[in-house]
Amino acid sequence: MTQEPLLDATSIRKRFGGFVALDAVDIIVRPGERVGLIGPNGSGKSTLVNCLSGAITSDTGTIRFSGRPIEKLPAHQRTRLGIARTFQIPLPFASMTVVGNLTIPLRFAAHHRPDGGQGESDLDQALLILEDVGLRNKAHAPSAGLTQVEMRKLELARAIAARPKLLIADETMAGLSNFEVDEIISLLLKLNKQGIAIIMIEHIMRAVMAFSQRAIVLVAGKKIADDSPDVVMNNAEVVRAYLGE
Amino acid sequence: MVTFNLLINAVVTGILLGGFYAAVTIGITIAFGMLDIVNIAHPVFIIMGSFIAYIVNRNFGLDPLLTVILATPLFFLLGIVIFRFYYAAFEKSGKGSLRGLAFFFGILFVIEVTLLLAFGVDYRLVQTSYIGPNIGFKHIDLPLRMVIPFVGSMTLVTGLYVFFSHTFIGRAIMAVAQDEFALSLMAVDTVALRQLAFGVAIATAAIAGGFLIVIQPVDPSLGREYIGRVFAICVLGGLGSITGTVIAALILGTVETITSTLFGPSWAPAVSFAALLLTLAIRPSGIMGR
Amino acid sequence: MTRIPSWIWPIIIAVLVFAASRVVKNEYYMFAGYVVLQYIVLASAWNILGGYSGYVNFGSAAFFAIGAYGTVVLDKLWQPPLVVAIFLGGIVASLVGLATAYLTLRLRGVFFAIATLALAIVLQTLVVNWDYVGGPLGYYSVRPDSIVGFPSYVNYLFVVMLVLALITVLVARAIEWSFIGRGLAAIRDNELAAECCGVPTLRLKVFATMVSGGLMGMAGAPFPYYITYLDPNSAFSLAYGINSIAMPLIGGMTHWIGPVIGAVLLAVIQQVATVTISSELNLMIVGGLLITFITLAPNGIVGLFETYRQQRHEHASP
Repeated sequence: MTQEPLLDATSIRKRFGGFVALDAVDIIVRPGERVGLIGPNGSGKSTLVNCLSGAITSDTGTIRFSGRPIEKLPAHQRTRLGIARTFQIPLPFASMTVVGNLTIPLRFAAHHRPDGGQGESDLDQALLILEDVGLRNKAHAPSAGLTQVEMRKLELARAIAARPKLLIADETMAGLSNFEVDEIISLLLKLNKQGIAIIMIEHIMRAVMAFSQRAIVLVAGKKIADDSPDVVMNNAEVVRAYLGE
Repeated sequence: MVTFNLLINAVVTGILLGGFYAAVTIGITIAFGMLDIVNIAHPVFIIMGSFIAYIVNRNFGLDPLLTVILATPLFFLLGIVIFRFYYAAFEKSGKGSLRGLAFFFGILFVIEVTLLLAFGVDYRLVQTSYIGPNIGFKHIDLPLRMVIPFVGSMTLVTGLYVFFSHTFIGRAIMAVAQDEFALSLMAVDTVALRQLAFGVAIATAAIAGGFLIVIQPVDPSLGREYIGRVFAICVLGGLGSITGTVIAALILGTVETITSTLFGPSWAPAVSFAALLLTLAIRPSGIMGR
Repeated sequence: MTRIPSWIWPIIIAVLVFAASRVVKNEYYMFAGYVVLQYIVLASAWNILGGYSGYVNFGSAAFFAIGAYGTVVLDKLWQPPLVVAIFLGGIVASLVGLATAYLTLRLRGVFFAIATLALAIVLQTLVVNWDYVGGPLGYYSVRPDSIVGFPSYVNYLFVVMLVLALITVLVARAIEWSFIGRGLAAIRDNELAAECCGVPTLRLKVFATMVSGGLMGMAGAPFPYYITYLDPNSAFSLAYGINSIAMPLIGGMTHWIGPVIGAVLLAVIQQVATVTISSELNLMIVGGLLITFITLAPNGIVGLFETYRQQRHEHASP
């Protein structure tokens, strides 16, 4: 199956002073694919997300999205091209209501996408998305007063509102109950059925196993495995990285 | 006419001045560079120190440097009080930056105007045995009133450097500066550490104030000239780096003095601010910045 | 019953004030009123960047002085109509804003704030050393004796500033309600999240700085004719710097009416204080109010009003 990759990042390097966060990492995501990104704490997963989304610039390496080189583009332009991400620690627009939070990506990102909902009004679209994530009843509540779970959902809703082709979900499930984890998984699967490729970064193994078609493992800034979840889980090096010697 | 003699003297004077600038800036290096508190009012604390030295000198004849050393613990306490207030009002709620900035801006004004009302617009100076005479050798004439503050400043800065890199508390503060969250998870009272550091920062203002009034006459609005200098040095040197502060201060002092000598003193304020703008535009992390 | 759109009110009030200016003979009110109107412009203009996006500008005096000294240069060259001077002053100030913004807005807000302070001092030093405009000694501009259509030139200046104030307030409101305003609000809440939601943060911040700086420059342009003797200390007065921050903060930074309230309140207090006590005490009062409000009521008078309204609402419907 040789489909043109949606995301094709090669040789991504990032140093912070003397610390090497990413050491020549390659990552490919095909359209509509479900990829799990796992690794011990501090292995560079969030740094990689930041480099891909444009929150920080990598030292070296190229990133192509739908064939276009994007490594020099600022984050907002990458979002407009179709990459959306959530933040590990939710960063809501605290002065706005829940639905207000969604109008920002709808107006500033989705409007610039070729398929980005120019049909219904922003408000209607936002309410639909909130319906999907289960926040409809909180639409007009101030976003500052939400619970942890609700904030995670808002993060996801905001990323969805950007109408991405690739969604990077950075530890959206940390600290959630089993039920809530299942909720998020089914939501992501639903999005995936609509054609959105998803990179899921998680520590919750059952979620990664259930969700991913492919799993990538980062340890100390290096990619050590990139295969189907079953193969990766039985990889000796991966097991060692997680459980120690 | 610019002679070699003139230039050499300018360079040497510039170095002496730069040393003093390091003492002026070190408080900001700590407050802003390490604690991320934009204490834009720091220069008026220095002026306050100068005026305290002035009053004591005028009424009791006490040496200004001695006065400020005695005043240092008071300024330390003042720093702690201000930090407590700042922390309770701004940092806890997390809305930090803009409001903290405006807060210190307000403090700047209140203190400056208080000094203005108390002392008027005139310049004040102190009388000591070492203001006046020069020490000289060969072509170089060093005013004693600049040499002594230079020596004092270098001592202060070196002392603080040793404190932050070799004492337990000092290194704890540096650790807080780098990763407060991690430290708080290790049951370290980060607020107390930062409070201590801020107290130290304000305490340095007292000492710098003493040096200032020895070097030149002081009036209440002099602080404004120093705001730009202080932040220029801090940014140029690299936030939070004491070594960087010293290097940047020496550079700035020298460039300023040479500019004054060649083009006239009215151009001096522009030097530091232009340096600041350039640094921000080209290399915002500064000389020693990471 | 249809709601009156809020932008009608400033126009109505402006018309009323204009009508009053036709009737009132005592020129003192024109002089004092000019200052209040000038601060409405400065405060509202400052708030476009500071209040809406959260980037603090300490150098309002710089932009103001660009307008003022721009007029001085024009006055020496060819004495154009005031409107031209205002327009040109606005353009130059706006371009300086562009340059400053582009250089420093990629960094944290704190560096922008410090850079604006630096800008004010650099410009002041340049002007002090520029003998063409009088250097440290200042410049005397001759105020025309009269002008067609107005009882006196001072009256004319008052009306000009009134129009400027109206324009500034309407521009501020337009921005606040537009998608630009929403983008700025997102930047203020969380710039990183905004950027990742597709908001072109740099572009919006630069735009806000240009508009803000340009309006401040326009406020400064008539100043030489108002004060007739312009020297660097008065043009670059730190009073402009602190008032531009204090007025929106005390009035309320999230709504366009906040700076207006703050400007009127503080300008009147300061006028009264100057006349009754002393002019030094002015800045102390402003500084004191700034500290008080920023600690106790950071959302300003508008914020207090909204909290009061919310509490009444909660009381009414249990």
